[in-house]
Amino acid sequence: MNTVLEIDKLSKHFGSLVAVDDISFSVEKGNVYGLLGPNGSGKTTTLGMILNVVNPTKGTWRWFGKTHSTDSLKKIGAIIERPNFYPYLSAVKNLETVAIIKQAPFSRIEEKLETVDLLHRKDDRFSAFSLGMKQRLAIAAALLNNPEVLILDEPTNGLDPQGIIKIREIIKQIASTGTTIILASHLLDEVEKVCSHVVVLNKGKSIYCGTVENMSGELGYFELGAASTGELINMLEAMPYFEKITRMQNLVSATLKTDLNAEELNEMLVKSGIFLSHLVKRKNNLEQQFLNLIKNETDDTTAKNRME
Amino acid sequence: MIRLLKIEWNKTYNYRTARIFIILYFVLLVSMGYLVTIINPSIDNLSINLAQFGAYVFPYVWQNITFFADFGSIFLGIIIITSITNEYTYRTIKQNLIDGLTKKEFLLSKLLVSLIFAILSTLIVFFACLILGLHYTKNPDSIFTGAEFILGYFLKLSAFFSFCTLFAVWIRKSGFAFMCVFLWRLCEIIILSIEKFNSDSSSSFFLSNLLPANAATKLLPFPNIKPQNLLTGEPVFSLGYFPCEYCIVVVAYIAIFIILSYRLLKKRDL
Repeated sequence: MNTVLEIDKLSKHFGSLVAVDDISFSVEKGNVYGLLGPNGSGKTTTLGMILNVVNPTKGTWRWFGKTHSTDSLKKIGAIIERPNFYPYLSAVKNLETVAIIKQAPFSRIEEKLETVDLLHRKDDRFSAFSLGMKQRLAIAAALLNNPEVLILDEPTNGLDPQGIIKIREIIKQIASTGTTIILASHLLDEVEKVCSHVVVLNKGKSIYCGTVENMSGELGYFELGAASTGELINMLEAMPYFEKITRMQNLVSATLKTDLNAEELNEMLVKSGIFLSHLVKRKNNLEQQFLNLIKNETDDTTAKNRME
Repeated sequence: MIRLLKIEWNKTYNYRTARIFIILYFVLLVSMGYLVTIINPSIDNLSINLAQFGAYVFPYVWQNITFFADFGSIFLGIIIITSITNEYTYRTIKQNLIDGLTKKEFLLSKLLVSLIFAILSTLIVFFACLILGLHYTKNPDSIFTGAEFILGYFLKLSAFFSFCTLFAVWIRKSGFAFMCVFLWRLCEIIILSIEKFNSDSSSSFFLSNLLPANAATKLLPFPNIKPQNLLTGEPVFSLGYFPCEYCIVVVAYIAIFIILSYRLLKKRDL
């Protein structure tokens, strides 16, 4: 059984507001998942429900193939929104409280503080910590039970570049040990740098779930340059491979409709007497793919509304 | 159980303000047994030596000491309210639940602390009464007559603490929660006064005595003092009536407060 988490038709309504609308997706063991979505798309509410702090309106979820219980929570490490600790307690005392709740041995406290590079501040009060340190302490707390799944919600929110890099290093290090990670974020390049899979949420709906590469479902596009741009465009338009051809200054961008590799295209163009000065095959980066997804979704809704 | 206590100990005892309050309360409660013997309130420049009046003689000592010891419970009420509202302010309740504590365990850990406070206070007051009584009573024959007021004290504390727990869980802000507890008490007094004012003087039962705070107050009645008996040489104090029927009412309220707290906790999103 390699499915760590299955979510089935989960919904949450706050009065008339639908925060999460019929979300279903599953998380496989050992992968790093990005939970992507703009602010207010229902990321935190979804995590809240599967972590038992928000009561779902309807729907179910299964951790490790079993119906939810607090025992499954003890195999999970999670931080939601921001680090929540007792400000008057020291780092060690805070972790002791967490360790008793998770029934983890106290001997792991120093080890985990070492992992997040906070051992030298262990006796300082939480209230004296900087935001970056608080965030790292939260990760240490989440790791206390050596979790099979680590859930992080916006872990780099509000941190300075150094702090961000440090957190990312820690996440990568944890991922390398085979821990499944679910990382909620609205920072696309963060997800692109760390995650292998993404779940995209928009307005409470999940609009994509799969690997980062397959996200757009598109084949990519060519960037081409030749001595005579006009001739090049005519030639491309005559070919059956492209759905959109646009001119950008002295280059041409041709979006693929069916798969075609660069050598084949080059060969065909040479045969027709066009010699390229520039040939690159590209795929949209995550940011463009994400914006496309959200745009398509919005277009669909507007179209539907118009029909009604 | 031990695990829940350990969690609460870690949270509360390492909190300096709470620790000072708790220590202060118990020191005061213990020393009360001694302090009451040296404090002589004066009325119209006439110093009153309560010991001479027989305030600490069996069986009156049980009623008198429990009545006064009850005023200290406000200290512990503050601690219980803040220990719960802090969890909301710091949002640690959310983290606790995510870390694998159930809502039931969370409430239970808070109630356990209340129970321990109530048991410790009751034990201290019990021994204070016993020692004072043995010291001042010349011929102690029936020591434990009137000791049922100790049960009343324990129940009143438990009711007050569970009442505080409910308001803390409900309101989630320490200042407001405390104000509401206080206002509630005031309202019950007013309602009782209105009922008394509007009823004929012969009746001894008032419906508003069934309200939670009024019912709890019935368990620790004001000491019966008859100063005029000083002249005749009869005992100044007399033993009040311990209302067993109100015990049942108060126990029912404790159960209701706990169930309501749990339902609130269960229903709310964090």
